[in-house]
Amino acid sequence: MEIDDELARSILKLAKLKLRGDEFGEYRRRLQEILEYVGMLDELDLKSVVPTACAADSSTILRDDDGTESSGRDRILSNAPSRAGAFFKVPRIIDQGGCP
Amino acid sequence: MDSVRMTAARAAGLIRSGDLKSAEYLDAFLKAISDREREVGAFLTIDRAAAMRAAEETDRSASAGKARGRLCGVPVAVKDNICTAGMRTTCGSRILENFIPFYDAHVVKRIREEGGIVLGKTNMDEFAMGSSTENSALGVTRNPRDLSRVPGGSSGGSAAAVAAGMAPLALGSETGGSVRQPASLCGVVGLKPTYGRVSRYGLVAFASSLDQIGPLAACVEDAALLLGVTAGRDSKDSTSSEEEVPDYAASLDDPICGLRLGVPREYLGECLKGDGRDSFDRAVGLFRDMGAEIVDVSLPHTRYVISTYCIIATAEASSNLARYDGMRYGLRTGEDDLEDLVSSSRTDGFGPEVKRRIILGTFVLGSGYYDAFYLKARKARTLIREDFSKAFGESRLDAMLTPASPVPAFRFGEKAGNPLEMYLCDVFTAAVNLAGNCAISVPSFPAPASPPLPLGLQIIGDAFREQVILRIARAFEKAMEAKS
Amino acid sequence: MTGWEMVVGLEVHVQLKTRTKMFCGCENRFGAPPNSLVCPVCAGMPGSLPTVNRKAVELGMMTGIALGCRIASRTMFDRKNYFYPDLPKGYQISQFDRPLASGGSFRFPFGGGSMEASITRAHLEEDSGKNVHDASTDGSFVDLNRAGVPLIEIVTGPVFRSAREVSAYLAALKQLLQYIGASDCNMERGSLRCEPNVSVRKAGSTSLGTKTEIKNINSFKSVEKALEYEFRRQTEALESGGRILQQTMLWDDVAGSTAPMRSKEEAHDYRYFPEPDIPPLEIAADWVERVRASMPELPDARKRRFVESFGLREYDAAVLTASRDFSSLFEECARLWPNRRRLCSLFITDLLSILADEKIEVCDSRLSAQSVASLLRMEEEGAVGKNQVREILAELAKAGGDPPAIAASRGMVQLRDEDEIGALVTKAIAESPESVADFRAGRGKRAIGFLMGNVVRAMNGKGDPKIIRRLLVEKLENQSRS
Repeated sequence: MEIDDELARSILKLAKLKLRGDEFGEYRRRLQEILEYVGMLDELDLKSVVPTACAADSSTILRDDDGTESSGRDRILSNAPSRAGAFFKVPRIIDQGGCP
Repeated sequence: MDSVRMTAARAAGLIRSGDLKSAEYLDAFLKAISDREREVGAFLTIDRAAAMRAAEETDRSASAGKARGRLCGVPVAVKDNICTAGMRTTCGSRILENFIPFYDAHVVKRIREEGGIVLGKTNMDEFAMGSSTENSALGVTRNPRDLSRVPGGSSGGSAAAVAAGMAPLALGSETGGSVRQPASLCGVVGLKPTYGRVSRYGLVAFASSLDQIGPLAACVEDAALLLGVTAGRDSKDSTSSEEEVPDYAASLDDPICGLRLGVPREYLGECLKGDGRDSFDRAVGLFRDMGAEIVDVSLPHTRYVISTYCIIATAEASSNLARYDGMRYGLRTGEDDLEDLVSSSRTDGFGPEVKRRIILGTFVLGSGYYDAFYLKARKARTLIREDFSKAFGESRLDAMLTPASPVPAFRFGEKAGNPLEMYLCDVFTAAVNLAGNCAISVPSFPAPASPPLPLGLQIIGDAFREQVILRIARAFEKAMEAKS
Repeated sequence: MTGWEMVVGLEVHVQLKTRTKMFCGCENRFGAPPNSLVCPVCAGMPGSLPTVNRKAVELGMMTGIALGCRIASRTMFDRKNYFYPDLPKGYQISQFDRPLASGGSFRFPFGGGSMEASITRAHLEEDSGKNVHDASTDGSFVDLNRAGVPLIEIVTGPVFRSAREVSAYLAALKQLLQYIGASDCNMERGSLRCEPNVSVRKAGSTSLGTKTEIKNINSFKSVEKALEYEFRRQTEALESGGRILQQTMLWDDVAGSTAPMRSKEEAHDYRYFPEPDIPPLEIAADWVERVRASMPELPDARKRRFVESFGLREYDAAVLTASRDFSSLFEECARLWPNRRRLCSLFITDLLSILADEKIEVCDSRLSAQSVASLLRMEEEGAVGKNQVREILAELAKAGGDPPAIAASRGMVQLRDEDEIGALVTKAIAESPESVADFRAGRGKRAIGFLMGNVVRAMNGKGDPKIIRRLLVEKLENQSRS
């Protein structure tokens, strides 16, 4: 499996990481190396195997619809790198009302 | 009396009854910190003043006959990926260097409820990604047994703090062996509980389906004590089990004669050589002497453990670490626009190993690669789980014996250049995280060197059978004491 | 433009009416001060974990059942990964390949008949926070109160062929969800959001064209406008030889047009995978049955019952059962007041417009069945007239109270003293000889109408019209005979 530049860039974009030119090659090589290693899973016959999703065996225990207290605005904002009044402040978002 | 050598279980009892001052007990560890912390570097944060205030408060309660709790007046070191209200919780990362949670992790809450005192926060591989603590962005931790060597990881700080006598008890966390492997390398006891045994609420997630908080201690009895305090159903963790928590101390000294202990033959292959092999063979011999029945068993999918682990752990990590975007907490760099701010903050805030794993995890979940990698790994995980359930079921095993680590502590930088080789450090431990059952590492015959280098014996139990492996570990510990 | 057909499938997100959020105990409430209903879980703080709200699951099951879906015996939550400032964890907990409900169909009234929409699936997920923009500054501001509010996403197949069909479906869906108490479906407050997938094709074609998704439709009124606009835009593009790009369009209500989202259209790869923090949820058949049994009557069933047991006309029953609260109030009143036809006209002619004029929801109104019955009793006894009934009803809706007391405090109680009314009637007849002449000439209706008006005015509207009329007729007949 070959990790070409385009694929590597699209991964970085999804992961929201940017690497400088010299780092880029290094990361790409490491990714290539590890993918070659894990390729050994192809030896297994997995057609009829049910994939494990969660390590807990029992069904989810549900929570009653009862209120607990919220943390309070000041605590929630206490670690914010930038705040404006009661809000977290972030750079301007261009598309109003639209998330991807 | 020698506080540092006394078991924490005994100390808590003496403090409760007023026969030992918590302040004195704490002071013994603070002295050890003054003596050794500069060279060991186990902690990222120590709050001596707060700990002393808590100890004095305990002593006041004790003199009024009101001291309570199984950890009454006992200091505990906490790995720095476990949230402590008001005390910074960094995960060994630049991105959380100044993060101060306002909430306690469930385990920390339990420690406080039982009278324990949070002494400080221990160093770790960044976001628990590593096996040597060299991946910490915030400090170097050295192996107290040999300062030229790594303490193992990722809970290297917790293992080193206990090994150096700077804390009687510590909490670590496991994803692929991060408690057992440093315990093995530092010569202390470290336990990975069954998945769901201990609440993960407040443990900063690395790989949610593998993560579990576990105790580290100088002896099995203390590991059992801290497990007992932290285990149990927590309504804030959906994966936390309703299985009842037994009294681990009660059966600790029961005999192990006649127990069936499996030795998986796949663990004795080429990755176990020399000193590691000798140590393990001697340990197995000791069990034979104690009257245990040693059974040859097979875990046929052992070869696929590291591949499976790498894919699942990094896939989950890539998602778990998405929240560090410089918006609500953590490092923020770059201000031009949204895209730039998020990418800059993450690029500057995460170290190289974390980035490598996020990249791998993002890739294996990506459309077009999901089936070939992530789904395949989840299926392989099913086979690895079945290996264990078959071995325990069909061979009617009480436990399995394996080495905890293939080699003793290595020198700084020895493996840092090669991530893949570092991943292979987890070869004996990661299967248990994938299967979800429990295991403990207990000090075994050291590798001959000057000074001798600790090696751990791993005892693997079936799900929720911590009681059994603690009992076996305790028997082994006593037999080792008798030898020396 | 002729010869083209619109094909629309709908994704509707509905906020579920729970007390707490989907995965944490914070209150689920609209309009609280920013970031006041937030905890480590919904803020995505490190170490926090989700726990599933049972009520949200049950409301989701009810929705699925009401839409004729199969409820999964084992359902799973998944993570949908993407970055956005209002998405605190960097992923949304949603459901991917094992939704709570799937494979349903929903019949709804359309154009005098009815139509059926296939329901592909209905799944649970969490809402995102809200980004607030302020033109005067360089930044945006994030409020996480809404983050983690439970949503059910209801997805139809590409079954709609006109904007009117979509409107009718949405109206019926809203009615249904309000009936089962799943949501208040208030589009202006964002508790119901609809994202149509729109494509066009040549009439008669069976293949589907490239679709666009429209976001940011904030009111029921905008739905049809946005669809018509997008239909026109796509057909014009195709007719002029262009092609449709698969993209997300944002509806601009002020401009009345759609435009492609401005942010870079990355090829989104959500990397869905099973949420490891939430084990799969097993749903036993008997749980589904318990939920089914606890479900309130659905609108269609109630309408039929109103026709059958109250003898109402089909049309009236449909109007009365449009909303659950309105029809429930009617039903309570009907138990206390046997004249269902009068009750029906009171509800449809008076109460509906009062609620609309005063912008009062039935559930917020102070009306009680007892007060409505008491009001109708006063009317029957002649203590108040029709206009006064309406006035008192409006007061009851706004502030509640006791109808006789309201009537008294407003000086509405009718004068029924026959001597007093008789004197005024005599006076009115004396002052209007032409009316007497009309009466004699067989134009009684006109004469009585004119004289009634004069008497009522003379009494400031407080005379009992029945008594006035009776006395007028008596005295005019007497005069004609003499």
